[in-house]
Amino acid sequence: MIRLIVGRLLFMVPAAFLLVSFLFALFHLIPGDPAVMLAGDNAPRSVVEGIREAYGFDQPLHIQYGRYIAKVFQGDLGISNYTRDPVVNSVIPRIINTAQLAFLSMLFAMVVSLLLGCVSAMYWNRPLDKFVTVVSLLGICTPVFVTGLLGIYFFSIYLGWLPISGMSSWRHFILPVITLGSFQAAVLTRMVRSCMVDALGKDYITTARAKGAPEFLVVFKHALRNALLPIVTLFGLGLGHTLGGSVVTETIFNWPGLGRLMVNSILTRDLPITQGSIFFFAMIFILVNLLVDLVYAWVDPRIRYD
Amino acid sequence: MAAAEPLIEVKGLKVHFHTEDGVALAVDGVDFSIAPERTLGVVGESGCGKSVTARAIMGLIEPPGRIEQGEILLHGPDGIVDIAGLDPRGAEIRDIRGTEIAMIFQEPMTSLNPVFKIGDQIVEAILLHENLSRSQARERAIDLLAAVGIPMPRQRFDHFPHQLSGGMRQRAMIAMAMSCNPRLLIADEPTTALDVTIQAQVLDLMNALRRDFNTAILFITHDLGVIAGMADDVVVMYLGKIVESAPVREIFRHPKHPYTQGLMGSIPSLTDWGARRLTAIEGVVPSPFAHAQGCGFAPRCPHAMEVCRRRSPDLLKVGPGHTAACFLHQAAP
Repeated sequence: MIRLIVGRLLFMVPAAFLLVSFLFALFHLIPGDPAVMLAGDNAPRSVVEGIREAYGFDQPLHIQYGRYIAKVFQGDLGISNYTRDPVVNSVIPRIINTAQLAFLSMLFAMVVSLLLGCVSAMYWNRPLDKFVTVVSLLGICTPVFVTGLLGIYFFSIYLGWLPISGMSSWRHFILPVITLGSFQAAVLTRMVRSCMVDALGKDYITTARAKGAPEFLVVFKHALRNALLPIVTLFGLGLGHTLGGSVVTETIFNWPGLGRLMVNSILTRDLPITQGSIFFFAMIFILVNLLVDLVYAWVDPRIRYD
Repeated sequence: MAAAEPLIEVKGLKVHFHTEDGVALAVDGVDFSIAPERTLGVVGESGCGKSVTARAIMGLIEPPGRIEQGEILLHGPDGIVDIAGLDPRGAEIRDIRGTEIAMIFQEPMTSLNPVFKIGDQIVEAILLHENLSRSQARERAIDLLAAVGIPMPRQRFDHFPHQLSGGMRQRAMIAMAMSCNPRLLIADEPTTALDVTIQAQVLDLMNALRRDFNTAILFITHDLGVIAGMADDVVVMYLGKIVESAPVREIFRHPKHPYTQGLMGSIPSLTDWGARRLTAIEGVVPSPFAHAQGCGFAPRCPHAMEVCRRRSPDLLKVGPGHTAACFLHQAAP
């Protein structure tokens, strides 16, 4: 197990290195002169040249690359073109906001999908299963902005129960979490159902029933533990999607998250912020994948012991 | 074949599967009984209803299957229970499973849950039925692992199924089945998936356990050699029906039904080596969806008569303790 953890952690190093290289390439691949971008389109030539020298854009590419890598590994992601603040300072609070939203949404999606998926599998091909299927298909088909706006209309405006936007109290979390989580809940319910149907058809389920185990144990111990193997991977992917796909939800609910920061930075051509946002998104993705691998090993002894 | 009070009696059992392709008559009127501490062998080709019969006795028929008719009477100290009438998800049948009747399966590779330690799977079976502490159950499980011939049982307790060989897994399955001292052990092709040498070891083990635990066994197989070594009595099934039933010696010496004769003819003999070609039964088992009139074996039978295609023969006595369902041995109506 420890070997596995160390191995996975070591694997993060080349992944992070590739990521940073990609960000560096991104900076130089997009059209336009970076010094002009920083100085502004109408800046005098002397100012542009000053910036070029100050930022080292006049150096050969491999030296710039080396400097960039060194800076990133020291935690320096550059300075925002607009606020002149270090990128790290503007990205970190935003990523915490987005992470809160994403993790709570995934928690919501996991609880709902495990419950509905298991029930659906237990009542496979019966009315309850068909009802759950219809509801989850509806969830998959409904875009996030529709769910969000309908939620705001019904719960905030019509009933007046929940706030419309912001994140100053726990009540502000409810609508965004459900909006962002319901799509994942719907997708995952379908997956949990099929994994559970598959697991419930296995021989060891008959063995469990044959030793007199009650149906509750059969489903939630013997079948679920096995069905979790593929489901854990999907949960990980879902978390990644939720983190990256929170832009729309953040926009609807005026949520000060990383997604919105990144989209704004693209619109205003604030490249260091874009790079910083991508860097953190990608690092979270890598971390989530690491987590998934570890949970996978915990769930499946065949991986743990080989 | 049953001497005194039987342990279990199956009467007129019919299990049908209602699918989109029609109704499959998987078990179509089966009667037999097993006396305490006896071994009944059930033989037949794939799809003849052997396994479904076994599952019906365990109350493990899942939709779209259904017990349509018949009784499965389990004689216990507290009276007779009709398993066919119990709710398959109810508490009563769960109390019977594992304690009164236990089952082992064909595929030791897939019958143990891959994510739990084998010891814990045995402990679970014990704790479901007996009021023991976890550590007592653990000790019992280790004793059982030793009893089924697993070396280093204390270490093996903490192993996962994938760390054991097929033969060891089947031993672990047997240990689990014997954990609550059942009165009937159903073995559904327990050696089919194993190597021949391992097969022999597992069969020896089962014979030894039968003596030690005084357990009756319902032994399902398509392997007549295994039956000869294990069973006291034999029933031969074809297309969901019993076609012949007799004590083991009798059936090997005087097989009456053409199907049984066909099965015997398809195994090599040590004595007339080279003198005889192995015979095959022509054709294949018909679909259980095709409910043809007459004897189910008639289309493949070398002795089929006109009456065989019109009517289905009853299972009638043809010798001491020997019954067969064939018009060859019955006065034509």
